[in-house]
Amino acid sequence: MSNSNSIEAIKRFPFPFAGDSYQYSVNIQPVVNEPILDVDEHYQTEIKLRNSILDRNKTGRYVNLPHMKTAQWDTLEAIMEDLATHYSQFFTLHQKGDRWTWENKILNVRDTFAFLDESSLPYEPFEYIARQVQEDIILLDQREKDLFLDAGVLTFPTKWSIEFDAGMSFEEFHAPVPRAHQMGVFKKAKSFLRRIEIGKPWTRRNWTMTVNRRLDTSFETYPAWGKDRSSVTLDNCGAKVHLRVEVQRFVRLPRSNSLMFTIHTYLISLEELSINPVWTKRLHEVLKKLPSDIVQYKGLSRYRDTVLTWLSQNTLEPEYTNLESTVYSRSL
Amino acid sequence: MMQAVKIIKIKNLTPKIKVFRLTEIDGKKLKAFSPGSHIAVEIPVGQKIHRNFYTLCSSQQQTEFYDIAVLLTNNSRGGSQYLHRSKIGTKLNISYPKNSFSLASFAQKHILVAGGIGITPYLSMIAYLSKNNIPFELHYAAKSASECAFYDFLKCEYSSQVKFYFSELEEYISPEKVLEKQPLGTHIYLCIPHSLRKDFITRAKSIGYPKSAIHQEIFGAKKVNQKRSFIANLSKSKQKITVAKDRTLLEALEAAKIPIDYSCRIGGCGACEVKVIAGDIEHLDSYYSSVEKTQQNKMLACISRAKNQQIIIDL
Repeated sequence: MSNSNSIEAIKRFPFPFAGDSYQYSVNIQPVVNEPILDVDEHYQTEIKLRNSILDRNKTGRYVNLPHMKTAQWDTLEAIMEDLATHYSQFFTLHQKGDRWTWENKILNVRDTFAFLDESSLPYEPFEYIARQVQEDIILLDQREKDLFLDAGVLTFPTKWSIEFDAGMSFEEFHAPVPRAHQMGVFKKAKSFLRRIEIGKPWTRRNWTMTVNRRLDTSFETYPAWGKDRSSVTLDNCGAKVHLRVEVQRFVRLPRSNSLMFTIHTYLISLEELSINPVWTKRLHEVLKKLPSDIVQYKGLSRYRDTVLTWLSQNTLEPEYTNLESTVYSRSL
Repeated sequence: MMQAVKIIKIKNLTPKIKVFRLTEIDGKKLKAFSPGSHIAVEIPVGQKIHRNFYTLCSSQQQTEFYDIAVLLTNNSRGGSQYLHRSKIGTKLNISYPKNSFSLASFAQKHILVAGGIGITPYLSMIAYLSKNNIPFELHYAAKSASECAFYDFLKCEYSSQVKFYFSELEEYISPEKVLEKQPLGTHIYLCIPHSLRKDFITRAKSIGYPKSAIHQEIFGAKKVNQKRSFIANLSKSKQKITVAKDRTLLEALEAAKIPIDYSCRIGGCGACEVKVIAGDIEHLDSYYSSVEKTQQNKMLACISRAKNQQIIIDL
């Protein structure tokens, strides 16, 4: 299958479950001594895909309200500094006062521009940098004790539309999530996010499943992928069904006081996943116990039972239960 | 996160207010900041380090240095006296900027009201507002022109938008006059003494300003408590865990190899919640609502403590 993961990518897959059941929680941890963004083996493929989506039609993919101009530059700066620091073999940034030179060796880009002068870049600063990262980026404006979704580039969404959510407050754009509102999760999450400080980014993981290796599961393209969910059989399940994990990061932007929220989406097929028996076993347990409203919200209703059967038939007993020391007793 | 800086310029603004210009000394750029931000400055007082909060009063366009204005006070813990005695070249450790008094991005007009040293957060705000052609008024009360920090600067740069009120000349701010006949979507910012602030808020509400359009400078509000040691009695495992005064309950549990979940370790995410069977809890987290805190039946082990000597936990 094209664009599948190498063995290295599988080993570093951000498996989301620490235990055998899944519960809502804020589940957030500090990012220390590691990059905010990830540049992995799918970089070129995913940048190409992002560009083609944005070039075709930006409606529903790109939102940028007028008061987010400063936040756009903040985003460009935060990302360039992060990439140049952690991936210096691919990216360099030279800053001489307001005159900056950015080089992206993978995409063969080299631009000199004036920081804070939009006319010196080929795109708006936000779009310029978003076209060079694998992450979707949402910018939240912090005001009135709330966070508002006032800008974003979203080409790889997990069943949502930034066009629909633009301008909404934190609890409004989380409205479709079952259970969590009653549990007070979003009030608590919001108050946590509002207090995130400059230089102290945080991260959390979110997960669902996707049929076929498809990053773009937006509402806008539903006709193209919705029907796939009825195509899962026990025979094709291992190759077709993917665990989809979002590594989300939250970064306070200094000039605008906005919050940058990045989403890196990773896909792994059940076959790939099953080289680590701890993972298949754990996923089986989580899926088995998942309450029906969450199954429905995550869009798994039509194929969960098939996946459960496949997992139970394809799980080998791990020789060690510790994930780190797991002996990979299967290969692809 | 800290930044190392040194003082490169000191200017007397009034007999009691000095402005200090700070620049980096370790080759790292100073962090950019948003209008209204403040920093914490570490001040050595005897054997201890105090953290004093000062608003950044330089423009965010200026990224080479920070300016802070410091009022000399007698009743403080010695921070302002230390700074007033400092000379050019003095090195300081300061935090990254934080903002708890930011400009509302959707306001049609901003009315900034300052009393005395309360002028400091507005300097970065008006630099931003005037650069972006956003309408604003600054109302600034002080004792006299000679005790009015930044008087010459404001008069020269923003003469049409600033109104001064000098109590020596019996000039006083009238909330009524300031607040009435303003366009819809006006936001007000109050960095003034308590009684005047109350008058402003009452008047603004009676005119019909929404609550979200009234902003007050509040910082340094974090609870500072003398931490004491306590004993956590674990009801299930029948263990007594002593939590030393400089340790958290979470750390003590981990040291005793009691399995407990955690995530943020700063009282914000709820992962390390434990059930409390008996004993009063001193909640220091920012996770629970005030109702949940009064229920006194669960606590976050990473930050909260027992109010008294003992607490019984369901672990």
